Amino acid sequence: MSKPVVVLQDLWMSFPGKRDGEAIHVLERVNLEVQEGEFVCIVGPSGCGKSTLLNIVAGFLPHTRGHVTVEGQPVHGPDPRRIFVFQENGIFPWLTVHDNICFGIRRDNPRREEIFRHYVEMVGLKGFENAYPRELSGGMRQRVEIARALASSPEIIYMDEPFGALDFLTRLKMRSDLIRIWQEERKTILFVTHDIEEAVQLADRVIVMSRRPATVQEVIRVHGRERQHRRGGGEARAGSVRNPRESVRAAPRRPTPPRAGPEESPSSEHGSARACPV
Amino acid sequence: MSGPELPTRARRHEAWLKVALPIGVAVAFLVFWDLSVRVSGSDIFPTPIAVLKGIGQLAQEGLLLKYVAASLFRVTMGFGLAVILGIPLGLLLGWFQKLYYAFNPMIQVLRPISPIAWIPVAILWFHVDDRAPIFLIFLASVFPITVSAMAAVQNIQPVYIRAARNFGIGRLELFRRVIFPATLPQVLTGIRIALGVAWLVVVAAEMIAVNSGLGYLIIDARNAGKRYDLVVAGMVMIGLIGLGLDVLVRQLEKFDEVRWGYGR
Repeated sequence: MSKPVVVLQDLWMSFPGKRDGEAIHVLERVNLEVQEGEFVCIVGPSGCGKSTLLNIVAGFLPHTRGHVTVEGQPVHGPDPRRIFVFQENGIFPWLTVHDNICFGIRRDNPRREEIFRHYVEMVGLKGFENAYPRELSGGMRQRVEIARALASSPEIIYMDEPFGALDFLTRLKMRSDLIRIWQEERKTILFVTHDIEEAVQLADRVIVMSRRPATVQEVIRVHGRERQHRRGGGEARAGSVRNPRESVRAAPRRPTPPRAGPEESPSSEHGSARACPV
Repeated sequence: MSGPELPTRARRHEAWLKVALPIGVAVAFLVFWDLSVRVSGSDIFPTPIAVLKGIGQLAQEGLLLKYVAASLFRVTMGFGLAVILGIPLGLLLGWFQKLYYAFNPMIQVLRPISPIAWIPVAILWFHVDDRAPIFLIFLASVFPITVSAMAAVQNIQPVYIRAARNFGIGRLELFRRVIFPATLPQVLTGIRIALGVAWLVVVAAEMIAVNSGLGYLIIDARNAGKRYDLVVAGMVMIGLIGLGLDVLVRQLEKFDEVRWGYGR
């Protein structure tokens, strides 16, 4: 938990506007570091550009200015070592659960079926191996997608509001399952959501984005979680919302220099409450 | 998975209606037809019974099977050629934007020209052998197939392509494992439409260019002695075989690999 695997330095992103010369600025001076094995949530108001940010990090979108480095390499495109979990319908409807989960496992991998069985059990879909996505509920489909991502054994998983389209109870269950899976797998996870409660429940660290053009407004370290999973993981129940004991502020509306260690500077509870756009 | 859940009794009733209603309509139509011929006193237009006898006569003479086979052969050739060329062409045009820009306008100009308008050209190029109707059937069916394959590629949800690329698969693999299966439902719909058009056209083509097939039967029966019982017999066979072909292609839409693409 020490080496930064995702590093964003002074990232800018603009889309061309309708009229020439009028660009729409989506991201401005975004600085961010994600450590290995860390679970980081990015929250922000709808349409603030957090999804755009994740798509840039994942290599699906080119950025306008700045540096995006993942595992020491600049990002030029999607990479099988970093798998993206989409909001909905990311799994292939023409493949069974089995074939979807095996999609990212090499065919010549002798342990293919073994890996498949491991993950189909982990996401609780045993017995549905031969079902097609249209026969599954929204929550089950999202489990297939998570299993598909894990089965290809990526180092990082990017999740873009993966539970956004699910009903409340399913969402709660999915969160607790995700925490359990994360504790078993120890992957680095970068998770985008507009739901501050979800973010606090899941993350080691919550990055709060401002309105457009979005920049990092606030970094909240969610304590307690680390201790819990160090002790054996079993106690990190998903139902229990861990309050941020210490919320840390990185000068609002200003860029956050990544190496200035904004997490260490003190801040007020009010600051974080105001910055929580739900 | 299909429609609202109905109680068994209501469902059984609906199943019964689905069979009984069309049979009722067919019987009413046949009675109306029969009565019309009798009341009008026409001695040229046949009654349904006369048509049935005509079909029986054709079967006895061995012509029925021969003509049906000849028509089906031409459809198979022309339509098969259209499938083999049209699907790859459509997928390429759908995938490569520049090819689409370059060729789509040309396709849209050729597409509305009725295959019937090509008959003189077909005769000029292929004379009156089997290649002329095959060419016409090919022309009729290649456009619906190409256009549906093209649209299918353009309609693929970007998330499938992104997800697949994320797993690092190469171009050929992307095509085989994502683009092809993702477009299959819509391509199949195009194939169904094209087969209907192909069957429509084979009859028209046979009326002019060749001396076998159901289209030829109709023209020949009229020219050689105004045998309208055989004319209508030919029409009935065309209708029934067309229905059979459509039912056959519809079976393909039930496969799990494509069922996801048809709503429900």
